[in-house]
Amino acid sequence: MSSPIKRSIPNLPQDIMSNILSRLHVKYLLQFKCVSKSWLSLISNEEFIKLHLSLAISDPNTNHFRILTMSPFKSLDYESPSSFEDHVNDDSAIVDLLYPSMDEGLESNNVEIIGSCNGLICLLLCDTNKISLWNPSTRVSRDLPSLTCNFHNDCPIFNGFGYDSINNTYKVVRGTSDGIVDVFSTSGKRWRRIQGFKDISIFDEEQGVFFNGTLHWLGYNDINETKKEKTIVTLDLGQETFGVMKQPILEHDENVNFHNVGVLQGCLSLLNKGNGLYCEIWVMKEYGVISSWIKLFVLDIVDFEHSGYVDPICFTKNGELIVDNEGYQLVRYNIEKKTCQTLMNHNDGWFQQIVYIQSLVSPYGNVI
Amino acid sequence: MSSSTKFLTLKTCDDKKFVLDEAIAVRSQTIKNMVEDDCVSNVIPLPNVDSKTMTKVIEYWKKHSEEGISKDMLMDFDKAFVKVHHSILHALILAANFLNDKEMLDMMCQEVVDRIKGKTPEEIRKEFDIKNDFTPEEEEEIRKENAWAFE
Repeated sequence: MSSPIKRSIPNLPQDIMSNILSRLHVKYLLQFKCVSKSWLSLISNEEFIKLHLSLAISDPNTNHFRILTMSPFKSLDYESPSSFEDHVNDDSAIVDLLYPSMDEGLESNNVEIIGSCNGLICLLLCDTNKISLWNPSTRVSRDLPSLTCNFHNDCPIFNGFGYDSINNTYKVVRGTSDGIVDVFSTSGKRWRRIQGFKDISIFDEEQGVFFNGTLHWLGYNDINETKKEKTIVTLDLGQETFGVMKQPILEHDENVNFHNVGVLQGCLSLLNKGNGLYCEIWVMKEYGVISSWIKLFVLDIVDFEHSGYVDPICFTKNGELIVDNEGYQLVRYNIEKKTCQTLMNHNDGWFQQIVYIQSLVSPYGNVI
Repeated sequence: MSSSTKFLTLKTCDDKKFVLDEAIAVRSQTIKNMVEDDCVSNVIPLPNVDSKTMTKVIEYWKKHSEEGISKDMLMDFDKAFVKVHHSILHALILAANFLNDKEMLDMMCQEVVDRIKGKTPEEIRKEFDIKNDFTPEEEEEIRKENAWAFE
């Protein structure tokens, strides 16, 4: 029996071609855009980009996450065997990322990382107070327009970046201490003001942490005229409504200071940097359930070279913890053995870091 | 085998019949659904699969249903199984897709991935017989946009 369609791989139905190509790394896919028109159209397709992203997130075998450090901009494959500092002859785990605006004389030490979501990094260019969205894996970037609304001489003090799955759009949030908040959505063209907040405040210079469709900042909740309570301030990106979420309650220590909202092991996390000698890592096992806050484990500062601070970034596939040690070193920490292995680092002095996933997501939203 | 072993007859598009233990045939979700919905008469037609391809599929199913077979042996079998010309690979992918055997489909798709990983666009076109339908200018444009990915 002869088939009317030629029996070759490219003639497979589109969903099977998606299945095949979605297993490839971004770099290959960018090359394969020029195989043929149908490959270009498939690789640029929004549904394909989403499929590729979801497979990358859940891939049990290969790590698709990288750590971005700056300045200058580098990408570290922290699971690669050649990521260790003592691998002197092999630096393939580190890739130089040329940030496009560098051509215009932008100094990366005047850049602040606001957040990372689905492969996009949101940067604040401090000299101009402008925001840029950047996909370091495709190297596509987009400078957002300046804030159109004025902030009454008050500068934005907190920012955030995340994905609104209800409206299928990425959102950048900037707000002032008195609760004036503007949002830019990648599906729109300009900033717009949203309903701000009252009786709560967000700490200065806080960058929101995106988790579960919501941004999280540390702040205060005014219980009454005289009493404030430390809290996590939340912003639901779909509904654009603010809320608060209680921090862990420690019976013996009411004055404990929690720091660094983060995401670890698929949970919202907080750090308790007890008197600089240790660092407790807390996670909220069940999102939104206050009683589910548990202490995951404690890091002893003496185990680390720099005694300033330790910032857990993420876990490796075999359960080791990647730690930012005072912004000078990235360390792979074995929790049981309490041993550190320093990871390769090409940064000049102090650096900022953030985890991102390698994806094809465009900073231009659905506009291709 | 127990006395309750049931057999199904599968008929491919080129009118060849295959008699198969039901316990093995239900590796195909498509066949399983038909059995469960009780819409199996005497013969199950497989209009999208030819006999040559079905022989390969059944070889795979039987090996993966063997009792006491070790993981290593299965891995060796799989490795050899996918080493076929891409026209056969193509037929097997379509069959696995129609029969809805996710495990087999995933393995075949992964094989295609392994064949194209690390190849240049030209090599892929050559291997899979793909026509380059871009004008030289269009192709140059796409390459320029992603120039760093070719380094």
